[in-house]
Amino acid sequence: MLKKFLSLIALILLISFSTASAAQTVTDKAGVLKDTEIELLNQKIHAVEQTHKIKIGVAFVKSVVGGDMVTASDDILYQNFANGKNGGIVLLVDMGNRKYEMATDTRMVEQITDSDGIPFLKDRFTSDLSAGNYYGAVNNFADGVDELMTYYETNGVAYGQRKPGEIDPMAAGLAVIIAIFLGVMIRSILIGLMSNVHHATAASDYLKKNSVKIFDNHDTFLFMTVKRRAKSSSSSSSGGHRGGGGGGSF
Amino acid sequence: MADSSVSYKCPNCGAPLSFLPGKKTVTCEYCGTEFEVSAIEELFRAKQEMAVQAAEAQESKWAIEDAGSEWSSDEAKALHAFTCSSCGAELVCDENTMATECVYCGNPTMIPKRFDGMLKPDFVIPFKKTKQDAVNALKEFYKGHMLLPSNFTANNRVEAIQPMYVPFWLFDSKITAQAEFRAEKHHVINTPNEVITEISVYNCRRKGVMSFERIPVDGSKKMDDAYMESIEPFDYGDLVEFSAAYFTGYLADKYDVTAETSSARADKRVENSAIEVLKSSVENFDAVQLESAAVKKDVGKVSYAMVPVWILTTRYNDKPYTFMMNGQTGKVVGSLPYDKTKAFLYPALCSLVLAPILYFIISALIY
Repeated sequence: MLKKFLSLIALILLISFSTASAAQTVTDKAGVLKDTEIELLNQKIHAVEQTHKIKIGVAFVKSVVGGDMVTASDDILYQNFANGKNGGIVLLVDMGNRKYEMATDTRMVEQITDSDGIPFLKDRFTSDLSAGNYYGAVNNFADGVDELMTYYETNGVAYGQRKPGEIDPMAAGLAVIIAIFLGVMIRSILIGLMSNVHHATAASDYLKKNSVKIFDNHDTFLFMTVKRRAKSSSSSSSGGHRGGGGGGSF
Repeated sequence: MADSSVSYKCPNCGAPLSFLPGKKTVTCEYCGTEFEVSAIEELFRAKQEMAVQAAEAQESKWAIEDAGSEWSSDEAKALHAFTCSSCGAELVCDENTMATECVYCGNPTMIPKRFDGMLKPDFVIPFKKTKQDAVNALKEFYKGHMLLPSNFTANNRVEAIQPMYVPFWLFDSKITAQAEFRAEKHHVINTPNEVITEISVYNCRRKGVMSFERIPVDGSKKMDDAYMESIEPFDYGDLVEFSAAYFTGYLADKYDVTAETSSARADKRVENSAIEVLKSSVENFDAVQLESAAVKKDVGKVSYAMVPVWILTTRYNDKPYTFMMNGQTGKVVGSLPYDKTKAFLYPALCSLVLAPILYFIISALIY
C-alpha cells in the first residue's frame, strides 16, 4: 500500500517537474551554462517579463533535428511562450551547428520588428556567442529585449520605425530629388513650347498612299535566346516564421 | 531709254494694280476694276520683253571695272540697278529680286529679267491670307505660352510685315527602297519560381516601290531652312501656273540655291519616310530595329514654284524677333522670348506641389 502511494507521489512530482521544465525560461540541453547562471538569468528574464508583460524563452540545444531552426524556434515559442499579454520571443541556440534563431509571435513582431529590432538584438549578443560567453549572450539578449520594449512603450512605435507624423528622411529626400527632376523637365518642356521652328525629317505628307507596293517580304528566323528572372520571394520578411524573427551563425 | 522694270498699272486709271489675297483676279484698288490674270499677262507681255532687253543693256554696263574701287567684285555682282517705270527712280536690288516695291513712290515693280527662260517658275501658290490675317494670327500665336514675358505683347510692336513669294523646288520622285530589320518576338512564361522570356530573333527583309509628290524645299539662302520647313504643309490644290500678275504688290526673290543643291534635303526626307513605310510593314513583332537600308531614285522630277509667306518682324528689348506665316494656310511659326523669372518660378512651384504628393506615394510604397 505504501509502495503504491509512493509510486503515485513520484508520478505526480514527475509530471509537475516535466510541466515546469517545459515552461522554464532558460533551458540548457547543451550543457553550456552553470546552474547558478541559469538561475540568475531566469531571475533577470522574469523581471523583464513582468515589467513588459511579455514571455521570453531561451533554449540551448546540442543540435536541431533536421536543421530547421525556423520551425524549431517557432515550435518552442508557440508551445510555451506565446501567452504573454504583449507577445513572446524565443532565442534558440544550436551548439552543434553553431547557429541561433529568434522567433517572435504576431504581437511581438510589431514591437521588435524584423527589419530593425532583430538586427539590434543580433548585435547585442552575437559576439558573446562567438566568444563562448553564453551567459553574457543571454544576459545581453534580455537587456536588448528590455530596451526595445521600453523604446516601444515610451515612443508608441517599434525601434527603427517612424513616429506618427514624423517625416522619413529617406522618403523626403527621394521625393525632393524627383520633384526637382520633374521641375527641370517641366522647365525644358515650357521653354521648348516657346518655339515651333523645327527641321522636317520626313516626307510622309507627300507620299502617294496608293503608290506603295512591297514586293519582297521575307522573315527569316535566326535564333532564340532565353532570359530567366527569379521571382522575388513571396514570403514576408519574417524569413518563414509564423510571426517574425531572424537568425544567423556564430 | 526703256525701263528695265515694269509697273503693273491699271489700264483704266493708271493706279498700281494689286493681286488681293483670296481673289482670282487682279484688282485696281482705286477704281475697282478687276482684270483676269491672263488679260494682265497679255497686256504687259510686250512691256516685259522690253524691260528684259533694257535690263540686259544695263547689265552690260555693270562691268566690275566700271564699278569703281569702293565695291568688291562680289558686291558688284550682287547689286543691280533698275529704273522704276512709275517715277523713274533708280532701284537697287540684289541679284535675286523678282518683284519689289519702289521705295520712292511705293509702286509695285516687276523685274522680268529675273523670271524669263529657265528662271521662270512653273507654278505659284497665290496668297490667300491678308496682312490683317497675319497680324491677327501673330497675336493668336502669342497666346497659351506660359513663359512669355508679361510686357511682350504690350511693349512689342510689329516693325515690318512683308508678303513675299519664296522660291521653292518641288521634288517628285519614284523610288525603290529596300531594308533589313532585326525583329524580335517575346514569349513570356510564368513559373512559380521564375519568369522565363523566350526571345525569337528574325531577319526581316522588305523591298518595295513608292512615289512622293512635290516635296517642298526652299531655294532661297535668305530664308531659314527650319522656318521654311516649319510652315509646311501647303495645299497643292491651289497651285496654279505661274504668272507674274500674282506678284503685283508683293516681294519676290528668284532662287539662289539650285535644285541640285536642294535635292539632298528632299532625298534625306524621302529616305526617312521610305524606311518608315517599310518598317511599318514588319508586323506582329514586339521589337523592330533597322539594320540596313538602301533607297534608289527611279524617277526624279523637279518643278519650280513660288510660295506665299508673310514675314513679320517685331522688336522686344531691342532684339528683333522674326515670325513667318504660311500665306496660304495661315500657319505661324517662330521663336518667342521667355521670361527667365517665370521659367524658374513655374517649375519651382510645380516641384513644391509635387514634393509632398511624391513623399506620400514613396512612403506608402516603402512601408
